Parts: sequence; C-alpha cells; structure tokens
Amino acid sequence: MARIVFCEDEEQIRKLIEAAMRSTDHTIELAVNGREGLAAIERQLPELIVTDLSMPEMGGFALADAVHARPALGHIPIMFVTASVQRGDVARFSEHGAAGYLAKPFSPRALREKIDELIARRPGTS
Amino acid sequence: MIDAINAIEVHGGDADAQLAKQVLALHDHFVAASTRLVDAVTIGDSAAARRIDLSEAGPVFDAMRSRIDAAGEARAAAALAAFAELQATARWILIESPVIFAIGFALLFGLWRILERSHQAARETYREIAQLSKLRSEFVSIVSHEFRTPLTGIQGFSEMMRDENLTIPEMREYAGDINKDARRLARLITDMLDLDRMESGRMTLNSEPVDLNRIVAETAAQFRLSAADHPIELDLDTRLRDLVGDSDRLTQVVTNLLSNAIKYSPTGGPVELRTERADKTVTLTVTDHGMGIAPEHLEKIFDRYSRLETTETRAIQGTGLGLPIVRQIVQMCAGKVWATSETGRGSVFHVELPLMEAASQAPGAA
Repeated sequence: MARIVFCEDEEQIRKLIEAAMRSTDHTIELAVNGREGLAAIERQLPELIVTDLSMPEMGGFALADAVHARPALGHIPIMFVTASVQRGDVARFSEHGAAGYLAKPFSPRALREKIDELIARRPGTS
Repeated sequence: MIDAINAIEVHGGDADAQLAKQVLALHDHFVAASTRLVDAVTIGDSAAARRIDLSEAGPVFDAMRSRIDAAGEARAAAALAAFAELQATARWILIESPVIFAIGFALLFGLWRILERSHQAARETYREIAQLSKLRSEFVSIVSHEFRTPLTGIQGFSEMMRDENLTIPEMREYAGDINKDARRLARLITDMLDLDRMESGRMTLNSEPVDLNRIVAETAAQFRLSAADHPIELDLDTRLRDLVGDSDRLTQVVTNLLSNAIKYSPTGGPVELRTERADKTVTLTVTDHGMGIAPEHLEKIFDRYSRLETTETRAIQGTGLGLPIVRQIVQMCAGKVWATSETGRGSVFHVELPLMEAASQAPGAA
C-alpha cells in the first residue's frame, strides 16, 4: 500500500484514474494542476507522484523541478503521463528526473502495473 | 640640289623618292639642253639651237607642283584626320563614355534589382514554408493532444468494462463516460471539417428568412437545461424583424458564444444575451461575468486553437475551434465580431451584421 498523488487537468482522465485505482489498495489524491499537486505532495509526502505534462498554472515539468528542489520531497519518484510522446520528449523526461512515463491513451491495467513497478523499485523497499 | 634630292631620298617616303627621281631626270635634261645651247651659241649652229627642246620642263614642273601640293594636302589631311581622331577620342571620353558607363551601370543595377527581388521572393517563400511547417507541426501536436484525451477515456473505461467485475450502475456510468468522450471526438472532427470548409471557401450560406431573436431564445432555452448554475438573461430588440441569412450557421454563432460564456465563468454567474437593431446593422452581444480575457489575447482568441495558449483556460474542455468558427461565419455574412473584456470581471462578445431584412415580412410593418 502506498500513497500516490496524481495531477491531471482533464476531468474525464481524473475520473478514469480514480476508477482504475479503485481495485488497488493504494491511497490516492487527485489534483487539477501542478500547484495544487505540490500542496498535496507537501501535505501527504506520498511514495509516488503521477503527473500530466501540460496543465494550467503549473505543468508537469515545473512540478517535477519544484519537487526536486525541496530536500524533503526530492526522493519521491515521479511518473509523467502525457498525450504527446514525441522525439526528444523521453530525453526531457529524464532531464526533469522522471522515474518513468506513460503515454495517453493508456490502459488502466498498464497504469496500475507501471505504478506497482515504480513503487517496488523505490530505494529501501527491495 | 643633288644633296637635297639625296636627302629627300634618304628621309622621305616612296612618293618623295619618286619625286626626287623625276627632279633628278629633269636636272640631267637641263644639263644636256644647256650644254647643247652653249654649243649652238658658241658654234653658231642655229639648227642645233632650234633643236633645244624645253617642252618637257612644263609638264614635269606641273607634275612636281601637283605632287608637292598633293603631298601637302595629304599631310594636312592626315593631320586633320589625326586631329579628328583625337577629337573623337576626347568626345568619347567626355560625352559618350559617361553615357555608356551610365547605361552599363543602369543595366547592372537593373540586373542586381532583379536578382535581389527574386532572392527576396525566394526568402519570402522559404519563410512562408517554414511558417506553414511550424503551423502544421503545431496543428498535429494540438490535434494529437485533443484526440488523445477523449481516446484515453474511451480506451480506459471500455477496458475496465471488459476486464473487471463491475456492478450494473458502474457499467452504466462508464458507458456514459465513453459516450461523452466519443461525442467530444465527434464534435472535434465536425468543427475541424466545418472550419476547413469555411476557410477554403467551400461552404456557402443559405439565404432564408431568419428570426435572430427566436434563435437566441431557443439556444438559451437549451443551455438552461445543461447549465443550471448560470442564469441566462435575454434582452431582445422587438423592432428586429426577419433577417436574410443562414439559420443553422447563425444558431452555431449563438451556440458557440453562449457555450463559451458559460464555460469561462466557471464559478457560475449570469450570462446576458442582447440583440439590437440599428439603422444599418443588427448587433448581438453575449456578456459573461467570468475570468475575462487579457488585452493581449482579445484578438488571438479568434485564431485556431489559441485557447490552448492561455494556461488558465486549459482546464476548460473545448475544441479550441468555437470562436474561429464564429469569426468565419460572421465574416461570410459580411459582419464583424470582436471581444471586449476586463480581466477577472468578465467578457463581452459583439457580433455586428449588416441589416438585411427579409422582404416577405414587410406587409403592415412601418
């Protein structure tokens, strides 16, 4: 069981994430943008952050940079979920310290598997 | 004399040498004649004296004179010719060469201008191609994002319905979500095709009697069902009679503007629709009390997909094509559309159409 903070601006996709995670024992919190997500992360100190890239107010990259800049949060793995995975994007994901990524449209099962994989891979859990 | 003739022979040309020989021959002739004369006088031989013949001297002198004259004339002519040549050269240098130089310069300049222009045209074309290519990749990226979002819902919810043990209400709910996303995709495609047809001039408008007030009232009634948080207030000008126009497209204008007004006032608040008939125009205004539009975006919002460029509006669902479609329709009706706004206080969209009232409705009307 882990705490996960999701950041996603599209209501339908937030709903899908919520439905997809219902069958797991993880505790999830959904934020509508990076700014709200950062507040939730500071409050929750989750085991994993899953974020969309283009969001109002604070996008995924800005959120990742803000998380890594805070010593208390820097260790939390971040996964990007994005509608556009194009050439060069994967390199940029690593530049912003991504532990993994998932392209939209994604299958709920792939989302759960990727999340479990990243949580298992955390330092101190092996 | 011999010395002089020799000098001529040495220094002169062929003509002079010839002349010198003739003078020499004449000289010999004179010597011979004078010797005969002396002999005749001394001897007293009158017959011999009579035989002295000087008739040859005349023509020889004449020839000499004419040759001397001819040589002088030739020299003078040569000098004149040389002078004329010099004069021609000077004239060329002073007058004609600048003219030739100017013509050459003009030709070179013209050639340079032609090259410069073709170069500029090539650069312009290159810039246009680069711009088109940039627009195209932006378009692909935006369209890809706009398509992937509803597709994520369709794929995700349908997979869960297929793979998981869901209750009937859950099934219904997810089917509803799939339906919503499918409709969003369909709307996106319709809007894209509509806009494409309008922009390429392949869409023609109907000319039929249109009651704008009725369109506004009916559209408002539809939105009242789906957006109960927003009181929709109408202020319709009763002087407005049937216009000549395309009922479906005008409905699209009102729908898109009203939909925008509701979407961009996320905290609720009234939306006002107003029509007004003036001497030559009819105006439709849609006022909301939402987030407003920054002055620098007032023009841009009518461009394709500009909605996505303003981060604060990204959370609001839409195809980004509503306002571009409104602008296209209004322009096809020879009207204009613009927005005024106060950030944080709301926006007003103005549509101004030329007043073309349907003739059939005229009886009895003042």
